[in-house]
Amino acid sequence: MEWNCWKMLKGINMSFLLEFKGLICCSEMGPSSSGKTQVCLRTASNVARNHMVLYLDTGNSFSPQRIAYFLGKTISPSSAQAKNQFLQKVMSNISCHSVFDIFAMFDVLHQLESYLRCQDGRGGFQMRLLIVDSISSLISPVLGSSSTLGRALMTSAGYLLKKLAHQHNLAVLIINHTVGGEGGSSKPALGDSWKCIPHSRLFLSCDRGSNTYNVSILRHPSMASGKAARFVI
Amino acid sequence: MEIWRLPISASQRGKLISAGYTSLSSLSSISSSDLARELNVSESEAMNILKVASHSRGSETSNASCSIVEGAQSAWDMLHDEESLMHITTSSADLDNILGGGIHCKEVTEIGGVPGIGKTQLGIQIAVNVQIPNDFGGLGGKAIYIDTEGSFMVERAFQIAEACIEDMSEYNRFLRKDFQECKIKMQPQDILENIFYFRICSYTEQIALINYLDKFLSEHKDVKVIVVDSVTFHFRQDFDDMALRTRVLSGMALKLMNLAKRFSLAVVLLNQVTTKHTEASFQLALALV
Repeated sequence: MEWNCWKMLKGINMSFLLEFKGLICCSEMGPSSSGKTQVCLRTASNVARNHMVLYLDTGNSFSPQRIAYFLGKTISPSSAQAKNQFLQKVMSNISCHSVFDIFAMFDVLHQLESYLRCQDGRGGFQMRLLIVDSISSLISPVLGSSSTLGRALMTSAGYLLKKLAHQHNLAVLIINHTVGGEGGSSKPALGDSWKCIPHSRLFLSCDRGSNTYNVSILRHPSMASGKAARFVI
Repeated sequence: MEIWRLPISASQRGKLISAGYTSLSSLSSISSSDLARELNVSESEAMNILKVASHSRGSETSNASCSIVEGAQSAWDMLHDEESLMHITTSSADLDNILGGGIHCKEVTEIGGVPGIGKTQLGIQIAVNVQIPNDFGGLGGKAIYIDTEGSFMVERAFQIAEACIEDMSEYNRFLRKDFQECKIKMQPQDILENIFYFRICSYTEQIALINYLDKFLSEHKDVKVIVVDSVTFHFRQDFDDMALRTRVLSGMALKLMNLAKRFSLAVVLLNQVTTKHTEASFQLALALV
């Protein structure tokens, strides 16, 4: 899947047009309350119209009311029952699971792998999007202690996600945080070992006091890095 | 190599690998006594390893039926669950409005403020309010109060409990004046009996308690709120390793969120504030954020 980034650069509302061109494992990062979860919820509500979505939540940040709000904005005002039916049809395509440690996430990913293997044969609604919000809160408790197990778990998690994206035509969206770097600037958490794992990386930030968000590309296989855009959710 | 995926300790993992057990299938046909002898561990440890291994193996081969993974819920079901969840009132209408009806269950709420502003009083009020019976719009559950600073005063809790009962009987009189007046059977002593109080004196005790709460909550299923008074108090002084401190605190936060989700209870964390010096001005910020 490729983000239609021209839409972003024009600065209009974030309505993603997801085109099935390839497989991208995309990682988003930003400081606290820069809109990362809102972007994920918005994406999930758009993709869920036609495909299935799995949302792995580590911090109880999944809000079904927000998804209902996004969906309600897009359909024309009709009878309450028709709206209800539409909401039920679309929201049943989104599955949310809470994981609170890295071993639980591995369990979930392996169950997902066996599900996707059966799914590839048949038609109907297919799962196309996996959102992990956020991977840094799962990995930070194990990283940095005296053993190297933490880094091994992080790299294997990254490669498992890439394998899922590649083998089953899945788009994977990962949320990361930022930590303070040298000189007061912020740099992404999880360090340099994580840098090479996602195919593309986006940096989100929020203007203080206003509702607009900035997104800039740090790494992308086919577009130049450094491009930035502003948007309002 | 699949052994690294199992949630077992590093020494057990090292022993398994050096004894030649590298994949889960190699553990399928061995008995616990043989494994204990080969690894030079106790039999209960060997049984634990085998149990964990068979659990991960079982979840791999099970067929997914209606849900993609076990335990996942669709967003539509969650929307309806959220609408039916009850809130814990804080006895202040404005505060309840900001919180969207009160303290939500299945969520962790953090309340911070300068010293002396009333955080402990709010914590005690919440521990009392959770016990309001269902007839009066409350949850009718018990409370766990974890005290790290020693600021919980029983006399004050007794006063708050008395005031709560008086409030309920006035509401009763106001609303049910046509019917026969039914007396409130609760006494302040009953309310105090339903608050489980833990006093923590060091950070190791705090970590141990959070780990123990899992077992405690499975035995006492009617606990509906956990109030932690000053979750960061023991971590602010005398902690040498900063990275370890961040890791421990984030791990603790994840465990509390897990408890909130699994047992459908509310977690209230009371925190202190510090002054942060950013952009040449001083701002109040929650401690250890």
